Parts: sequence; structure tokens; C-alpha cells
Amino acid sequence: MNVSMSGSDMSGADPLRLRDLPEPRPEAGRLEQDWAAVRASLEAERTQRRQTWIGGLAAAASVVLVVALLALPRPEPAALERAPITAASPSEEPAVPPSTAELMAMSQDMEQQLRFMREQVGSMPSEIAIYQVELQDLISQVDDALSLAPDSKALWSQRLGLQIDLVKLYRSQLRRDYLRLASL
Amino acid sequence: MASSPFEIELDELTLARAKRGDVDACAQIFRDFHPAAWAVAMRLCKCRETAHEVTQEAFITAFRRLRQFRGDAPFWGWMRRVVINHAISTMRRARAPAVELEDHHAIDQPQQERVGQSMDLEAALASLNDEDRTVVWLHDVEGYSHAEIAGMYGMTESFSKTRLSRARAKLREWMDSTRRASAVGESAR
Repeated sequence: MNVSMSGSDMSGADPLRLRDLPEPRPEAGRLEQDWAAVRASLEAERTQRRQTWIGGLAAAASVVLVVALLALPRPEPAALERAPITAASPSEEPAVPPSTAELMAMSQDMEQQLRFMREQVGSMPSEIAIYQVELQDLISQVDDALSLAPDSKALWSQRLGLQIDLVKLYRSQLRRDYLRLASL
Repeated sequence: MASSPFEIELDELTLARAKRGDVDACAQIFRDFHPAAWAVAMRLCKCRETAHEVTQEAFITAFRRLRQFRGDAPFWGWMRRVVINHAISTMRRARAPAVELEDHHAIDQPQQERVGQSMDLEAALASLNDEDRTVVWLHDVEGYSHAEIAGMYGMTESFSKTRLSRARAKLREWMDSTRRASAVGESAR
């Protein structure tokens, strides 16, 4: 903010003697009312900042978790079938940024996938469950913002990113469940 | 010469605590500066409710940006500037609603004449458009220079000078015509 000692020169001319006018005063009780509004706004901002920070931490932690789990030696169970690699593998697709409509469709698909995974995944350790709740809270916040700007590409992209983080989290938990079962 | 009601000293400790996000320190600053902040907002916006909105927004901005306050100028000058910036942008967004003048308290008999003049001046001020009123108030009462006022509006100094000159002329004209009208009324009795 541009700050200067602006207006400190009180010796300027006041030919109409405006300074002698009585100073307006706010109504009784309005100070408390105004402070309540200011305080509520500041606290809401702090809470949101904290949630964003925790959410970011959770997302980063989930990525680290997934990477760590993927680095573990994999068992070769017969039940696991490898998906055939087709000509339309993602690496060969042209790098064209998806449109808002495509992002919306992907987000809806991801929602179905998440619903299915939620049913499959067993009980989670508390630290993973916290990340899951934080990610879901962040998705809810994005949904709130989307209710005001339903065509925002940035918001749909953000939503999809968070859903991907959540899928990774569930996937890591499913893998952990599988490894536990396999070791029995 | 009267000083600005904004000229309130803020101790370093309260400021430092507020910068760290201490709610009690923020509340202290709010209590100290609220009347002056609201008064300036009211003078510029002419409407009590708008003045409250401006005051709230200004304090939210100030507390949010408190870490940016370097302390090389008094806090009150910085705070007042935040309030004025919010008032100007609020007036730009929407025209302030109907004029609402401050009620005058009962005043001693010898002051009656001065009160009458004050009310004339209040009415004259209220008759000005937003920019003229803001410029004359910021220049004549708050002591801002033409360059500073021009900076607030993103205009040249001639904008401020022209507005000031026009505002003063309108105020004089309004007050003269009011006095003439009351003199005619007196002589007609």
C-alpha cells in the first residue's frame, strides 16, 4: 500500500471553516457491532488460510505416500491382470489443454470412481483419514466457489486435481489393504 | 488550528501485537480509531450505513495488511488513508443513497448563531456531488495536497484544483443564497 505522511499538513487554508463543523458520531452500540463484523471476517480468513495450508500439506503428503508405496516391491498375484497397452495410451495423446466441458466430464467420472473406491476401502489409519477429510473439505470449498462461478475452468481444474489426490489416497490405502491380506 | 481527529498515538507494543495477529490488540486499535474512521467515512459518503460499511472494510484491509505498515510514518496517517481509499472506491461503485445529515445536539445560547451557520454549511456540503465534496474535505479539513488527492483518484493535479475551486464556489453560493432567503423571510415578518 502506498503510504505517505499524507494529509499531515494541517496548516492548509480552510476559508469556509469546515473544520469547525461538529464531528459526526456513530450511533451507540455500533462500535461493538462493527467490531463483531470485522472480527468475524478476520477469523474466517484465518480459518480458511489454515485449512488451505493443511490441505496443501495433506495433498503433498498423499503424493509422497503414493510414491513411497509405489516404490515398494510388488507381489505378482495371479488375480491382478495387467491392462493391455493400446495405441491410445495417454503418453501418445496430444498435449491439448482440456476444455471446461471436458474437465466437468472428467470430474463427474472421477466422482463415480471415488464413490466406488469409498465403498471398497477399509478402515484407514487416523493420519490418512485426516488427509482424506481435509481433501474432501477442500473439494467442498471449491464446490461453494463453483456455485458462484459454474463455468470457471480454473475451479473445475482445481476440483479435478483434488479428486485425483483423493483417488491416490484411496488407491494407496487399497494397496495397503491388499498387501496386508497377501501377507496373511 | 484544529488537528485531525485521526491524530491518535498508537503505542509500539499494541502495533507489534496486532501485526502478530493478536485479536485483543486489533480490538484496541479498532476501539481507538473507529470514531475518527467512521466520521471521515461519513463526511465523504454522506450516509451512516455506507460509512459503517466503509469503516468495516477499511479495518479488515488494515488488519490484513498490517505487516506491510513499515512504521516510517504515524499509524494514524496510514489508517486514515485506508479509510479514504475505501470511501472513494465505494462511492465509485455506487452512488451513495439519500443525504442524511448529522443531528445537532442542544447547544448553549451564545453558540446559536454559529450552529445556524454550521447547519447551512452542512446542507451546502451535502448539496455537492461526491467528488467535489470529497476533494474539498480532503484538502481543507484533512490537509491533503492536490498531488495527494489526485493520486487517490488516479488523476492529474488539475483535477483536484478544479474540483476544489468549484466546490468552494458552490458552497459560498449556497450559503449566500440561504442567508439572503432567511433575511428576506425576517424582513417580511
